[in-house]
Amino acid sequence: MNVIRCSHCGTTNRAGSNFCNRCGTDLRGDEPEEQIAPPVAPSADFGPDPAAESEAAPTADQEPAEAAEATDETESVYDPSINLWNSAEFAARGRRAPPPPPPDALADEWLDEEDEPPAPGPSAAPTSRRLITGVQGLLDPLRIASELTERAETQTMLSLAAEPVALPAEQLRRIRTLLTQDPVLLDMPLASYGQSAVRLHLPWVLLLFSLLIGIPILLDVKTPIGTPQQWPGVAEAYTAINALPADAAVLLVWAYDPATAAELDLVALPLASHLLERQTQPVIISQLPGGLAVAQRLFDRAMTGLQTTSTFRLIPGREPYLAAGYLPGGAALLSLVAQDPAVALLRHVPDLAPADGVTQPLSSAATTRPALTIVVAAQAEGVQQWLEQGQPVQYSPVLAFTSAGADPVLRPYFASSQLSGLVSGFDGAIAYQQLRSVPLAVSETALLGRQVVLQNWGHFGLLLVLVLGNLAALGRGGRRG
Amino acid sequence: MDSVSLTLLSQNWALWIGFVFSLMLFSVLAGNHAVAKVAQYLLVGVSLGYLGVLLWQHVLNPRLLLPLWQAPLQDGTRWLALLLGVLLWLAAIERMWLRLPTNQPVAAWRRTLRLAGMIPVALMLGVSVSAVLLGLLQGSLWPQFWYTARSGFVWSTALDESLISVLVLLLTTATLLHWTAPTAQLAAQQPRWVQGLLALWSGLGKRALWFAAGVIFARLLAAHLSLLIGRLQFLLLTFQQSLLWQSAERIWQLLGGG
Repeated sequence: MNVIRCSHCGTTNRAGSNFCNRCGTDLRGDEPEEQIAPPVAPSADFGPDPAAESEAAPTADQEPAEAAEATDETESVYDPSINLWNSAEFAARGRRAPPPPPPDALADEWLDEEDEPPAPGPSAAPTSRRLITGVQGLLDPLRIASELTERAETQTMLSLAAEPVALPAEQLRRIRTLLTQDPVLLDMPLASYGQSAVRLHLPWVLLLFSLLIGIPILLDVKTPIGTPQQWPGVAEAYTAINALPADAAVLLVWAYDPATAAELDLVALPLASHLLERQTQPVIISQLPGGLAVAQRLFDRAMTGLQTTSTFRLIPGREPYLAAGYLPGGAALLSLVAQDPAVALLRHVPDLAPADGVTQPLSSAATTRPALTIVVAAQAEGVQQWLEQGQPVQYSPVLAFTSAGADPVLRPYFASSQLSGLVSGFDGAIAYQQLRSVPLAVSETALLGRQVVLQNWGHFGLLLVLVLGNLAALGRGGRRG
Repeated sequence: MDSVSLTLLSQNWALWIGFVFSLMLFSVLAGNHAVAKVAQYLLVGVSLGYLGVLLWQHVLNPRLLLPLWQAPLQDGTRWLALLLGVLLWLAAIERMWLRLPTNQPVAAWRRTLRLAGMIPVALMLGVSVSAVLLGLLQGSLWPQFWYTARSGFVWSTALDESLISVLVLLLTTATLLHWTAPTAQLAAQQPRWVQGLLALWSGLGKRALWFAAGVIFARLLAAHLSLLIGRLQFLLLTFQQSLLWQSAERIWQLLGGG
C-alpha cells in the first residue's frame, strides 16, 4: 500500500492523506514514497498476526536504516494491551504514545470489554480502516477520518451508531471532554420538532403582506385612518425647535441612508420643514456614504413644500442648510466633531480650484457650539453613539428622530433627560406635524395620511397571520390528539 | 413608439432602473438564482464605487492631499497619516494579491511589511476601542445606572407614581433574578415556601423579559412595515406612470364611455 511519510515527525500516513495523522503537517504537496504490504483484516480476537509480525520485526539482512523504519512502523501497530489514552503506559510514553486502535477494533474492545477481554499481544492494525486516530496528548487534536471508503468500515460505523455502547463512566467522561467543550450539554434533552409542528412559510407571509398593502395602494383606499399614537417626547422636541432663534446653528447627525429612507423620510420631513421655517442654520454631517445625499434631497423637498406657503422667506446671502460632509471614522470622529467642529467640519466644494480654498472651514455658525443637536437615525445605535461620544463633550441638548424600531431602546435615554425629545416612527411624525401651524405640501400630507392607512392594513395582515397560524397549530394538535 | 412615449420614458429612466432593480432583488423570494445574484453584485459593486468616490472627494483630497500639496511643511501630522495609510495599503496588497502557496516560506521583506502594516491597524483599533469603551461608560452605563438608582423607588403622595415605583422595583429585581441566578439550584436546600416565592419572582422576571421583547418586536415590525409600504408605493406608482398602465386606463375609460 502507498504511504506518505511526514516530513516533520516521520509518521507514515495513508496515501492521499491531506494532513499528518500525528502532527497535522500539510501533506498535500508530498508524494507517496514507499510501498508496504496491504493491511490484513484483524481477527476477531485480536491475536498475533504473522504478517504484521514479519513486517514489524527487522531481519538480519536488512540495512540499519530499513531496520529503523521497520521499528518505526512497529510503533504504529496497534497494541490492544495498552488501554488507550488513559493508561499509565500512555502517560509514560508522552508524545510518542502509540496511536489508538481502529474504530472497529475499538468498538469490539468496548463492546467485549465486560464479556471477553481482548487477547494480549501485538496485532496488525489496518491503517486504512481507522476512524479516529491520534488521541495522543493534550495538545494533539482529535483527528477523524474524512471519508469512509470501505464497505466493512461503513457497516461498522452503522453498527456503532445504531447500538448503544456501554462504557465505563470515566472513559465516557474523557471521550466527551475530547469531543465537546461542554459535555454537560450531552445530558440535556434535545428539543425535537416532529412533523406535527407548524412551520412558518415566509414567502407566503410576505405575499400576504404585499397583497394587503399593494391592493389598497392601487385602489387608493382611504380607510381605516385611525388616530396615530401620541408618544411622550414629541411635544418636547417641537418646543425645543420652536424656541430656536433665527440663524441659530443646529447640528444634524444624519444616520440613515436610502435603505431606510422609506420610513425615515416621513419622520424627517416635518423636522426639515420646521427647521427651515424657523430660519435656523442646519449643519448636516453623516457617517453613512449615502446619508448626505438623502439629507440634501429631503431638505430640497421640504423647501419646495414651504415655498408654496406665503409666510416662508429665505435669509438673503445665506444657504438654507449646510452639507458639512461625509465623515467616516466611526464613533471616534464624533467626539472630534463635538470638541472641535472647526477642525472636523470642512466645506466641501469640489468645483473650486485649490487656490480658492477648498478646505476652508464652514461658516462661523457651523463651527461654534450648536444651539441644538438633532440625530436622525434608523438604528438606536446612531443616537447612542452621539450620546456617548458627542454629548458628554458638547453639552448641547439632543433630540432624536428615529424609526419605530429604535424607539424602545431609546426611551430610557429620554426618561433620563439625556434626550430632550424623541420622535419615532410615522405616528411620531404625524403627531409632530399636527403641532405645527405651517402645513406640509398637499402631496406630503396625503403621503403621511396614506401611510397611516397602509400601516393599519399591515397590522391587519399581522393579526391574520397570528390567527391563521394559531388555528393551524390547534388543528394539527387536534388531529394528533 | 411615438415621441410622447419616448419623452415619458426618458423622463422616468431613473424610476425605471429602480423599478427593475427592485424587482430583481425582490425575486430573491423565489430563490437565490442568477437574476437575483446579478442584482446583488451590482448593488454591492455600485455601492463600493460610490463609497470610493465619496472617500476621495470628502476625505482624501480635501483633508490630506490638497493641504499637503498647498503647504507641505505646515502640518507634519498629515505626513504621518499619509505614511500610515500607504503602509496599510501596501500590506493589504501583499496579503490580497501576492499570495504564496502555503508550503512556501515567507520572504523576510514580506514578514517586515506585514509587521509594519500592523502598526496602522493597531492604532485604528486601539483608538476606536478606547473611544467606544469610554463613551459607553460616560454616555450609557453611568447615566442610566444613576438615573435608575435615583428614580427606582420613590414614595409619592400620588398613588399612581408610588405604584409605578413599586412596579419598576419589582420588575427590575425579578428580571435580574431570572437572568443572573439559577433560582432552582440556589433554593434547593431552602423551605418550600422560599422555593415557591423565588420561583414566582423569577417567573415574573421571565415574563417581563418576554413582554419587553414583544414590545421591541412590535416596534420593529412597524418600522419594517413602513419600509415595505414605501417600497411597494414606489413600485406601484412607477407602474402607474408607465405606458402600459396609462394605456390600460385609456382603454378602461373608452369602455366606460369616458
